[in-house]
Parts: sequence; C-alpha cells; structure tokens
Amino acid sequence: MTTFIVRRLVSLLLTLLGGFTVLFILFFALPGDPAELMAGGGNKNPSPAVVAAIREKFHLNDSVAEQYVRRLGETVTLSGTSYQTKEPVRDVVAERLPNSLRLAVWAIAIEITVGVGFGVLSARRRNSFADYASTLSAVVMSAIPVFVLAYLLKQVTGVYAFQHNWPDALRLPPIGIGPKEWYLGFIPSLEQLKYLIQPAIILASVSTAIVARLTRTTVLEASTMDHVRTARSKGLRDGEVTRRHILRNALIPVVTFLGIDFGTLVGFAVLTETVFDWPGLGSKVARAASTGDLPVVLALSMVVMLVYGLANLIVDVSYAWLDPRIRRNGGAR
Amino acid sequence: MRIKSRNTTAAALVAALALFAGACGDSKDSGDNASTGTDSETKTTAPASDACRTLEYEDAPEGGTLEDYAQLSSAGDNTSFDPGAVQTLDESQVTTALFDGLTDFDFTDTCNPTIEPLVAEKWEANDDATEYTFTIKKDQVFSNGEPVLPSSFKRGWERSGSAELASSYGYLLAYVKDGDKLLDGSMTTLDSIVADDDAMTLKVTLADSNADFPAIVSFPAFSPITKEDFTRVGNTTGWGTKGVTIGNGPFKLESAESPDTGTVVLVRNDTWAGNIFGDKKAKLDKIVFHLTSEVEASFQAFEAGEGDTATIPSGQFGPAMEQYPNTVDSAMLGTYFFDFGHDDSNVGGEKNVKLRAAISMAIDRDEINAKVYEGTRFISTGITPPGIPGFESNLCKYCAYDPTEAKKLFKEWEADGGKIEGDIKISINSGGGHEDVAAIIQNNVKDTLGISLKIDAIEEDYFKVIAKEGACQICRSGWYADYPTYGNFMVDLFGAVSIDGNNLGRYDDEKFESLIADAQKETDDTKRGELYASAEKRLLNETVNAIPINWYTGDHVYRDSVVNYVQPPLGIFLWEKVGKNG
Amino acid sequence: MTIDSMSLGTDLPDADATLAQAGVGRSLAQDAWRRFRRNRLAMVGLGIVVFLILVAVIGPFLVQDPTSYSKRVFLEPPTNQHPFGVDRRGGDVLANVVHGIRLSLFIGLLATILETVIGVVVGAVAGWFGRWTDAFIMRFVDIMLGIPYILLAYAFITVLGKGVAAVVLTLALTAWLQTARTVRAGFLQARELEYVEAARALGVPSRRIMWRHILPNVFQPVVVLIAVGVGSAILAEAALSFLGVGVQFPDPSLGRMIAEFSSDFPRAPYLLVFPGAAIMLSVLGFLLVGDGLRDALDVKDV
Repeated sequence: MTTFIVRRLVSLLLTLLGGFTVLFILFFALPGDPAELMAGGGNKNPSPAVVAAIREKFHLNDSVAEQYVRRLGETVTLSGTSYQTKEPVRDVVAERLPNSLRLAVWAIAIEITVGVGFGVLSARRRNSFADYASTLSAVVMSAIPVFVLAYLLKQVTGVYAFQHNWPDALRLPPIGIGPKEWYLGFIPSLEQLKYLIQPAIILASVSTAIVARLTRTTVLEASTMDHVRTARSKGLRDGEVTRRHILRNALIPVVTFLGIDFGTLVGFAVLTETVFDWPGLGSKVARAASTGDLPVVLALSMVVMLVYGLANLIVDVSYAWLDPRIRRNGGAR
Repeated sequence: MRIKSRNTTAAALVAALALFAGACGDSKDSGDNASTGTDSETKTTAPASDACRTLEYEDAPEGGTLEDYAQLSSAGDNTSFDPGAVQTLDESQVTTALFDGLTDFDFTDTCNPTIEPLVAEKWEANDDATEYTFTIKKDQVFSNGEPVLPSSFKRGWERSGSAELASSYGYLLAYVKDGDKLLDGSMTTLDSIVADDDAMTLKVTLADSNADFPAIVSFPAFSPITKEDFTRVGNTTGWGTKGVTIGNGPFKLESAESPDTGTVVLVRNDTWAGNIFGDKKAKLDKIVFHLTSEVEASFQAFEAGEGDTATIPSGQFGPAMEQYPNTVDSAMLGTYFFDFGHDDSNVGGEKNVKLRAAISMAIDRDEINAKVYEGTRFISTGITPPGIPGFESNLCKYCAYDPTEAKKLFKEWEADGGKIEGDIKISINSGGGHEDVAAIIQNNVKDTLGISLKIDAIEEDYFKVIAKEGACQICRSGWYADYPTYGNFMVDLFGAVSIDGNNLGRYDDEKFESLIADAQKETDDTKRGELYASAEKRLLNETVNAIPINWYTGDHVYRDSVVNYVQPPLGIFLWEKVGKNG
Repeated sequence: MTIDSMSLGTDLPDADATLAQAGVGRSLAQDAWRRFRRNRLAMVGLGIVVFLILVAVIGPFLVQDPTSYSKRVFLEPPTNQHPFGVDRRGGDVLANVVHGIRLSLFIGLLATILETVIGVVVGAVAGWFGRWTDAFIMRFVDIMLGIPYILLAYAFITVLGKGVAAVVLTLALTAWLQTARTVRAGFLQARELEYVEAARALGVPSRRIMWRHILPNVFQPVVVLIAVGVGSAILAEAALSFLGVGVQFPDPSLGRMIAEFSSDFPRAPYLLVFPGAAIMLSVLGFLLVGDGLRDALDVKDV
C-alpha cells in the first residue's frame, strides 16, 4: 500500500509539472504583452519607456527557458505577484482555497445524501413513480443551464421572499460569502449557512443528478450478483442486504465519481461562483486567464490540479476499504 | 473619467433630494416620464435647461453605517483607489472620501459650478496663467496625524506623474513644466513645483498657459500624500494597502479585502478639516462598500433586502424607479458618443465628411434612448453636456435624426465618388447595453443608407485596444467630466495630446488644435467658453468626427432610510453629507 | 453538463477497461435499432433531435430577419405576429431562437465531429503502438484532464480569438481526451483478440488491421460518446457565451440570449422561457439518444 501511494504521489508530481509546462507554453503564446498589463494605464497606452522598464524589472527579456525556470520556482513557492492587481499570489490562494474547499465539501455532501438516496430509492422501487420522477428530474437537471437555475432560485428565495415579507429564517441572501463563521473549518454557523446553502445546492445540482443515475444503475447491477442472491435466500432482511452487500459494491463507481467531482468542484465552479459572488478559485482563475495574468493562472491551476490529484488518490486508496478484494499493486492507469 | 463598461448608465450615483430646478419635490413623480412599458413612448429631446438642478441637502442624523452595493459592482475591473492611480469613477468614490485636494467645486446650482479653495486658502496666478501660487491652510493633518504641507502635495503630484506608477491620469502632470520628463522617467522630481513648508506655499510653473489649472488640481491625481505611505509604497501601487491610503478626507480606511471580492470599509476621520460648505464632521460612522462581480447580482441583492444602495442594471429602470427612491433624474456631466477613425480610409478624412454626416443623421437617438435606456437619458445635441461653463445648446448640425437629409448627403457623397470598400466596423466594449446601441445604429444605418456596419464587441481592455493606430473606424466612447471645464471634454477627448489615450479616433485637426490652444491660454471665462465651443463646432459641424448620442443621468436606487443620497454632476458623492435614519 | 461539472464527470473508474464486446455481427445495427426503438425515452429523444434539425434547416426560411428591428415595438409579450414576443431591441424572439438553435446545433455537431476525429486518431495511435508511445500520449491526456477545463477554454479562446470558429475549436480541443481514452482502451483489448493476433501473424499491414478489425470494435462506445458529446458541447457553448467569451454579438447564441433576457426578467419574464427551453430541449434530446444508444449497443460506463 505504501509503495502504491508513493508511486501515485510521484506520478502526481509529474502530472503537475506537465500541467505547468502546458499552461506556461499556452499562456506564453498568448497575444498581449504582460509588461503592458503590468504597466496598467487603463485606457492609456503606456509609454514605451515605462513598458521597457517593466520588462527589465520583471525579467521579461530573458530567454524562455530562464523565464520558465523562474516562473516554476515562483509557482512552487507561491511567491509570485499578480500582474494585474499586484496582490501576492499566496494571499489569493490563502483567501480563495478555503472558500472553494468549503463549498465543494458541502456540494459533495448534498450529492451523497440526495444523489445516493434517490438512486437507491429508484433502484429498490424500480419502475415506480418515484423511479420515473427521479430519473426524469435527473435528466432535466443535467440539461438546465445552472445559471438559469441559480437566477430563478435567487429570485424566489431572495427577492420574492423579501418583497412578500417572509420570515427572516426563510429568506436567503442572493450573493456574498457571509459572516465567515466556520467551526472546525467546515461547519457553518446558522447565519453562515444562509449564504452557503444556495451555491452549494446549485453547484451540486448537476452532479447530484449524475450520482442518482449512477447509483441506480450500479445498485441494480449489484443486486443481481451471486452473493447478494445468496444473502437473500438466507433470509436476510431487505435493508440489511442493501446495506451490507449491495451498497458496498455499488458504491465503488459512485465514490470514484465523487472523488473526481470534488476536484472538479474546487476548480471549475466558475458559473456558481460568479452568480453567487462566492470568492473561490474558479472565478479567479477564469478572470486571470482572460486578462493573461500568468502568475495567478499558474499558481491557482497548480493548486486546483493538486487538489484534483489528491482527491483521486484518496479515492483509489478507499477502494481497498470498500472492497477488500481489490489489492492494488501498481497504477492501473 | 472613464466609467466601467458594465451597464447602461455607467457609473453614477445618487440624488435623492436633488430636485429638478422648479420641479416638484417628489422625485418618484418624474419617474413617470420614463417609458417603462412595451409601447415606445419616447421621451422627447430634453431642453438643456432640464439638465440644470439645485442640489439640496437636509440635516442628516449622525451615526450609522451605510451598506453600499452601488459603487463597486463590477469588481473584476478594480485595480486601485490610490489617488495617484485611480482610474474609474467607481473607484474614485472611495478615493474622494479619503482625500481632499487644493480646490473643490460647489455644484449647488449644477449649471453654474463655482470653484472654491479647499485645502488651499487661496491661489494667485500670473497674467498669462503660466504660474500659480497656492497658499495652504495651516494646522491641517492627515488621519495619521502628519501635517498637510505643501511638500505633501509636491510628493503626491510627482508620484502621480512618475513613470514607474504609470497612472492613467499621469498625463495631467504634463500641464506642469517638465511634467513630460516625469512621465517618460527622465526626471523623478520637478523644479517647477516649489513647496515652501514654512511659508505654506506651493508654487507651480506650467508648461504652457492654462487658465483651468485650479480646476484641474481638484482631481484626485493632485491629492497630498503622507511621508508614511510614500516610504511604504513609493511609486508602486495596488488595491487597498498596496497603495497610498492615508488621506485628509472625511473618512479613513479601516480595511480593504482583495480587489474583486469582500468589502472596503471606511470609518469617520475625526481629524478631518471640513469641506467648502462648512461641514466639519462626516455624518456616517462607517461606509461599507461591498464589492460584487456584476451589477445584476448586486441589484438582485438589493431587491432581496441587502444593503442600502445599488446600481440599476440595464433594462430594469422601469420597475426599479417605481419601487425605490432613485437618482435617475440627476443629469450628469457625462457624455456617450462614437468616434470616427480620423485616418481611416473608409470613413475618415476630408473626402468622407458627407458620409459621416449622413451616418450621424441616420441614427435615431430617441429610439436608442427608449429601447436601451428606458427614456432615462438626455438626447445630446453636442459632445459637451449642459452644465459645463460655455455650453451652447443645439450646437451640433448633424445630430438630429433625419433620414431624408441623411439619404441626400449620402447620395452627394456617392456622386462625389465616395465608395465603401470592405466592412465598416462599429466597435464597442462588451456589456452595458452597448451591443444594443450598436445593433440599433446598425439597423438604422442599414435602413436609411443601405450600408451594413459590422459590430465588433471587444471584451477586455477595450479602451487600450481601440486607442491603437488603425483600430477605430466607428468606435464607442463615454466620458465623465473630471472637473467641470469645457477643456476636459475637448482637450482630453479630441486633442492631439490625447492620441494613444482617450482620443480614440485619433482626431488631429490643425484648426481644432489652434482653437483649443487659444482657449487654454484665455483667462477670460466667457471668451474661453466661446473658443472651446468654436472648437466643438469645428469637430462636429465641419470635420464631423464624432457622433454624440446622449448625456448621462444617474442610475442608483437607495432605501428610504438613506438621507442626502444626492448625486452631484461629476457623479461623485459628498460622502460626508450622507446619513442614515434609524 | 456545464462547466461546473464538465467532461470529467464521465471519467468512470474502469472507463479504460470498458470495451465494446467483440464480434460485430452484421445484424448488430438492426438489433440495436430494434432495442433502441423499444426504449420509449430514447425515441422521445430521437424525436426531439429530428425536430431540432428540421428547425435548424428549414426554420430560418420561415422566420423574420433576426437582425431587423421594429422601431416602435419592443419588449412585447407573445402575439400572433411575434409568437415568442419581441426583445428589447425590437427583434423577433422566435427568429432569434431559431437562428440560435441552428448555430448551437452547428457548433455542437462540428465540435463533436472534430473532437471525435482527434480522439479516435490519438487513441488509436496510443492503443496500437503501445509501449512508450502509449505511455507518452496517455500521460499527456492525464495532464490535460488535470488542468481546469475553464482555464484550457480561456487559453484556447485567447489564442484563437473569439467567435464561432474559436468556440468550435476550443470545444473540440478540450473534449477529445475522453474519446482518446475510450478508443485506446478498446484497442488494448482488441489487440489481444485471437483474430487480430492471427491477422498480425499473417502479415496483414497494421493500418489494415486497425481499419478493418479493430476500429469497428471501438465504434459503439464512440457513437455513444458522440451523442452525449453534442449535448455537452451545446451546453458548454451556452455557458461560454453566457460568460461572454463564447459566441459574440450579434451572432445569435442561446446562451447570450439567456444572459440578456435574465436582465430583462423583471420587465419581461416570459422571454427567458424560449431560449431556456431551446437549450434544454437540445441537450435533453441528445442526452436521451445517447442513453438509448448506450443501452441498445450494450455499452457500459461511457
């Protein structure tokens, strides 16, 4: 097991280096001069002398290789500074990573409870109304753009609720990060929950639908397996069978999906973060990418890739716990 | 000053109790003129006098916190509210709450602004307006206790113009002798600015005569800064404490989170010396500026009960004006227009004057106002808005919608051998309803002249991209006055000195240049106004190099509990007067 | 799926081990069609897709010019003359939606075709040559999958410029990874099959073996990926356009229309319904067809 983990960690580092290289090359090829971006000047073309001075100061005249090495060093140590806002990259990560992690953790929690719950329900009452309803809503969910969903949700819980004098407890603020009251890092206070709940639901919406469908399929498959039949024939109660024999097997693909999804939610939640003004990594990466703010782009995407890689690693390790028969002796991929 | 691209009416604030001169007291009433519905009852071209109003303030209660969602509601574009680097009207709302300059304007009668000394006690100019001596009031201090001295101004000015800071407004320092050398980095300090801290005088020698200089120094780039800040950040800047923040204004900075999220919190500055109206103390204890990513999001939050103020997003004026007190009636010293590329082979030059006039006359400005701005703006009859000393109404010859005349001019142009080769681009910055304006213009021009314009929407760095050589054919521009002078429109937007900057069409006309040069030198206010108006006539009626569209009005809503949310014509609040009931 | 949960969502555990079953019978297509036809939801999906294609092909000839505006009428609820209402510029919403569907389908299909070609070629090369070629390519695919999607999209768009062509390329260049993985896995499995080994032993040229014996094997999962891919591409296009980096004004995009109509919502809530429904229908149609194909072709885990 230890060898496996070490091997995976090395492979993760290689992936990160590769990702760094790809992004460096891509953004290096971008049109636009970082010196001009740094020169600021908003609506005024900065004078050539100023741009030249900045190029010198930030070593932009060095060879690509030298810049690559320097940028790599700065990225690894998080010591770069944003071209655009001059914020230290470390501050950006320190501020946004926890926000992204919290949102992702709660979105995953919703996916597990709602998604797995509905999945199991549909599988056990196959072809019932509940089954059709959950399948249909799952399909519809994955087809509605989240920004529409979010907008309408806010219109109800925020605007309609306020204008029709709903009690305070039922009204939800449409945007913002809230009072930043977290216990043990991840448990929101009641007031904080009001800010968290909507983005978490919206962020989870699409994946919850996928989890429900996935769970339904895998549970159905697992219930036809030999050992499950055996267990049933031995007279074990339905709930017992589901819990002990079916779910364990059925959950492997679901857990895999959740692991991957976690990485996705941390780094890709651009739309959700934008509509709810939740200051996470995704929206910042998008913003930085569109302005060519290389130090921010590289540092943040390395953080996202690291989270993504670690989540996958944890998933692989948890296979062993879910299914003791799996003994990994090397990367299967 | 540029405004952010975000929404229809651009930045703008306030004006609850600002009443139309002679109109009745209920600001909601006048909201009825604005067409809100489906049927296009357009507001007819407003007579210029409607744009004049009297700013009235009441005695606001003391204390309280204002939760603002209006000013920083497209936070992605924020870079700094440092007085040396501030770029947008939104950000300068914060800057002006923190800093006071040598002079300030009294806009009580909005069409007759008067300049008053603020931190200065008085100033004197020599006969040809090339040398100014400002005497600075004694015993004023910054919020950190440092005294406000002539050298604090010298420090601030040289920093604003420094090559390293590369401020958008650094070019204003070029009015000072050798200021250009500051800008290109060949000098770091100017002998033409002499600060005598004992005599409390600041003596400035200008590069050329400029009778508007006392008005120009009211701009944030000419703010005083502390030794403490300068030692800390030097000629670098950034958001919040990455830049200069210690000021001498009615408020001081308590905290600022990152430039695109969170809040900027200001608290009352108890060491403040007071304003030109005799106020000695800011009413509010605290102002919390909430940074949001989009106007739509912050307005939705306002509608859901969050905060005290918000900006109305494009398309929501009707319902917003019905429900909340608002500043939509407040005329602003801001102008929305399109430039023609001066050297463009298709639309520029002497040979295409009639084509440009035809395009301008083919545009139905009422239609734009009704569809995009819900009838809230003033149809413009020139670039320079009413309220600017020297303003002439109906100055522009080709700004009225007249398809017949437009067709006639177009035919004449064709008869003279005019022919369009390739596409004509109409460039806009994305968002803020500019697409709608461009689309209506495209449609108008096609209907009337049969020319197909190609809409070119630019997402990032529009003003930088479009200012480059050859980038502009027909390109959108918008401008809020930095100080109420005619020159701030003519020189900053069309002068050859502004090429590569705000002169997007790269307009460079000999006769126009000589008119504005004469105007700058003229010390008689009336004559100066007339000279500038002649320059504008040269621009619009002879060379036809710009298409005026409309003049801005306010676009904020606020809660009933907010007092004195009055928006002066420059758009920037008197934050010290704003208060809150309950 | 939107950007919030894009592409990686389909990366299931043993996607690599997944493979179409060997032995493509001649009646496979007929079998599959029979099974597909019996699947009610799939047939509904097919109906939707056919309808949308008809709208895209014929629709533009039946509606008004979307860029011609009424001077007086704007923001109007549906009427006989304008069945979907009139937008804020005075444009006919029906015309805009029809042109939007056309553009969405065009972008979705073109991007998916491109993506499939790239994915099949890369996957086949990796799967056939194996060893370091495979290791190298798959490592690259892993890296690309590890990079935040939105970042790749923004990078490509910044390099390629904005507009329809840039969107198509961006979608294709970010979506081929999954196809490549699936195809490669198919190859790895097929390589071990007896008749492939036999063909190799007989000296049949590689290209021929790939073309004749293996590709048909990976055909089925790829078909499913295509159907699902079109839906994802349409949704991704809408999301990019909503974020302002996709299709640019004045090209009619459903995503951009949604952004625009959300801000008109307080005055004209009905407008939002039409582009919203159009996107939902498009995605739903392809998703259901994809699901149906998956069942009919007996492909798992794609």
